[in-house]
Amino acid sequence: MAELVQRHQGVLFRYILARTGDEDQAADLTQEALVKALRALPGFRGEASFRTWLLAIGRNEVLGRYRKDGRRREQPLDQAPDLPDDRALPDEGLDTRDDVDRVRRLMERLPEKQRMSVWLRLYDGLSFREVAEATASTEGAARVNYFHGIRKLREWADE
Amino acid sequence: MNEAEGGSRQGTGASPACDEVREQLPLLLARRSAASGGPSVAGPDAPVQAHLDTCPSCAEEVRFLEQLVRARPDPPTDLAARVVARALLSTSATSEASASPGAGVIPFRPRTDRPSPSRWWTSPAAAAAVVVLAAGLGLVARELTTGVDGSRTLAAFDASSADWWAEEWLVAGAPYLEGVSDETLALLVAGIDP
Repeated sequence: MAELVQRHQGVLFRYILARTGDEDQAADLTQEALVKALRALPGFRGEASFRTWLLAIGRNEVLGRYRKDGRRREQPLDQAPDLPDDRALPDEGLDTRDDVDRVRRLMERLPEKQRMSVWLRLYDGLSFREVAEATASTEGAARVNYFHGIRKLREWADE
Repeated sequence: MNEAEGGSRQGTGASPACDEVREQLPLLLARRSAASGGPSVAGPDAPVQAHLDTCPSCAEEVRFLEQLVRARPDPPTDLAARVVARALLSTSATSEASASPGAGVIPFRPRTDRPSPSRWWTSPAAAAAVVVLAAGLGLVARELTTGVDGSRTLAAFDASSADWWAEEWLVAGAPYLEGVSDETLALLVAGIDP
């Protein structure tokens, strides 16, 4: 059980974080989704990949939180989450940390579906079909969202 | 293979070969990451690597993507332990959990703010700690005796007594939570919660 959670917690956390923009909330919702997934595991029939099944549970958790809150809290573009102090970074000095902060702020500027497509593809190696299922879009749209997202990030990085 | 070989696709301005390679670059990086402990992604790297060796534009694209990968957000290090702990605990309380969705989440403290006074109640570890501490307090309270003048004094307590742990009030513990203020309990938990 621990290995299963360890293996899939990252993609689920990033998927939820890409949607909520709040790391603490994403961690709580990830925890809830994983517990529900473990309980529902005997009913998993393999019709979708395990990852997309898990992300669907995560999506329901996010939607449930939005319903509970009564409205969707949008993340202002100029208030990207700060890099948590307890988060491990490559040991490459201050410049690397500044670069990481800068990239994360650029990511926050992306539209949600582009950000999710970039994260799921780039950070977790999902196929475009899996990205499409996770973002409720077509495979072609997932591919376009990914490439448009990367192109925008590159343009912003070069500014 | 280079950018002059053909038209563009997906608006990247690169040749079909470059586009095909760029579509695979995230998987290449994920496989490299897997080699150093990241998520496992299967697939051959040789054709992609061969293209990168001869295409400066795609090689530059890899360097840019590597910058993005370094900013990858990761979950809290103790997330898996919290999930497993909750899953194990919930096996004995499934009906309660299903009746109250979201109940029992072991919350993550806001990293910039003080913990909410109400949230620690939902942590099984903290709750267990409170029960143990409360039981200890009860142990002391039980030994308070009333003197002839009505004053309360602490009687001697023999922890090595054979049957003290088996008494119902100690096992339950709960009665001794009553009447203890939230502030006091928060202080008790703060003293032991890592």
